[in-house]
Amino acid sequence: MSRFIRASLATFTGLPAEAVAHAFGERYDLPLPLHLWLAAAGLAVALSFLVFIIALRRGERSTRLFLLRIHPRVVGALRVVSLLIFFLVIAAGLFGTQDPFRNFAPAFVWIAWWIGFTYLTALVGDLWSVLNPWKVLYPKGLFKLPPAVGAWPAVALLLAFAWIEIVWEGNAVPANIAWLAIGYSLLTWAGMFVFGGEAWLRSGELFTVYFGFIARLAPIEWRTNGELHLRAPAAGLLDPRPLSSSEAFFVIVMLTIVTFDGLRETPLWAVSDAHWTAAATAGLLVMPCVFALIIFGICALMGNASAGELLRLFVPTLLPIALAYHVAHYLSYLLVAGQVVIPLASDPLGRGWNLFGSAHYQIAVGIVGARFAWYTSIVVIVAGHVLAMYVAHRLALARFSERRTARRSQYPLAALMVAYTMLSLWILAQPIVETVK
Amino acid sequence: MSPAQRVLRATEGERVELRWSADEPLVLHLHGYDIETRVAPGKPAVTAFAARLTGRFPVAIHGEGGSKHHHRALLHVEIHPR
Repeated sequence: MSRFIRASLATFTGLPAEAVAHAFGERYDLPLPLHLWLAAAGLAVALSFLVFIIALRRGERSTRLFLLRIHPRVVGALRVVSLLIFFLVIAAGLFGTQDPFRNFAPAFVWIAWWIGFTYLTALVGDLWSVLNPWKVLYPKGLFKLPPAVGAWPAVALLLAFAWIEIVWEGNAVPANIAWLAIGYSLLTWAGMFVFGGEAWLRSGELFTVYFGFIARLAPIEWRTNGELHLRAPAAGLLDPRPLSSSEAFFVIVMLTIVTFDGLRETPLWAVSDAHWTAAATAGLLVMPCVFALIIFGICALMGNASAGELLRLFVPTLLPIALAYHVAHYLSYLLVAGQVVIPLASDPLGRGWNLFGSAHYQIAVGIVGARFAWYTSIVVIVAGHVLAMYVAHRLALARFSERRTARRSQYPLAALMVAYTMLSLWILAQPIVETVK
Repeated sequence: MSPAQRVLRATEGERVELRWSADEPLVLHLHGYDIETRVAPGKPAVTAFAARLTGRFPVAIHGEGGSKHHHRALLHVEIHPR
């Protein structure tokens, strides 16, 4: 049956409004205007040339500056808070209201933790290594993990987690979150019990691997003795040891899910509703392979070493571009939608409690507007691009004995980085046409 | 033009009024501003608001078949900064 709906813009008369819920995870960002798109793209390219000139000086050492030492009791207290929140999420999911907007679990997991904690890690370093609730129980292993296993379990789990985040319709249902947390806890503890705590955290605990890579961008380095050292941003990416194949693929999946998350909201991803889940699942699995092939091809052009080795060495240098795009995509959402954690902390189960007196906090939707989102987006994207270029150059100087070889290796990589940054800007310039519920 | 590409533009600070008419009863939801409007055959309705928030806000039809699966937005209202 055909349906006729007309809408026209006219003058205001005033009408009583009835409040209803939004779709969880909805964003209202305006597409980046053309002139800002061009300004950011031009700036990124111009600064790339500057990096070529400046970054090729040899002999600079990356320095560390002792910041402070965290008292073990502070660490203990942080772990208690982390565990309490962990159990609160599960309790809220199992026993709280199943309305995603009135339950603590979805808002905390998808906004405060998965987005907010990522940014916190990029700013202050590898907090997850301290707070990880699964690390508290620390069993000795029964068996040794064969080295060939690498971080492949974490790769598979990251893909599964990305599928839950991006594709699965039930991801905001509180009980689903609780059962996933319980299932993942059992899996992690079983892995730690069978293969040893540290071994499993490195190869199968996807969040340890994920936040570990994000923490390489942070200007603060956490040492196992509780010391914090200040360093240049992204200095953690200057490690001259290549990753393992599985870790390199993990990074590629990280790059892909960020880009895919943006792409599927654009008109380019105009898939009919009936095929949405199948298409998104396929996209999520195919895109990492496409990215891997492109990056491998670029590394083959860098010369003087095997493409595989160069890929494993240089692939983390793409992370600043991916994180910059992620910030451009989600910062205003985090600042607006993330406020929902304030009232929900007081009433996590949606039962009318008011534990901290903040249960009636009203979200201020207007605290950031379109201009804030646009300008932070282009500043962060240009900064991320320059950082990526700079780190890659420093790494090339350390890897190749001759400066000329190092420079030549950077032409294809720089082209890839410019293309990746342009793709990020292009996505931001697209209108969001994501389906709504 | 497909519904997902239908866009109405206004500028921050303006007063906006969307007049609806439909050939079947519908509940229309303007996201972001959170305004629900009921429209029925022969009963045109109006969604009116002062455009104080900038952004791109979808208008969706609510109460349609379970609403668990994805719905395309009927149209988008873009409020551009001054």
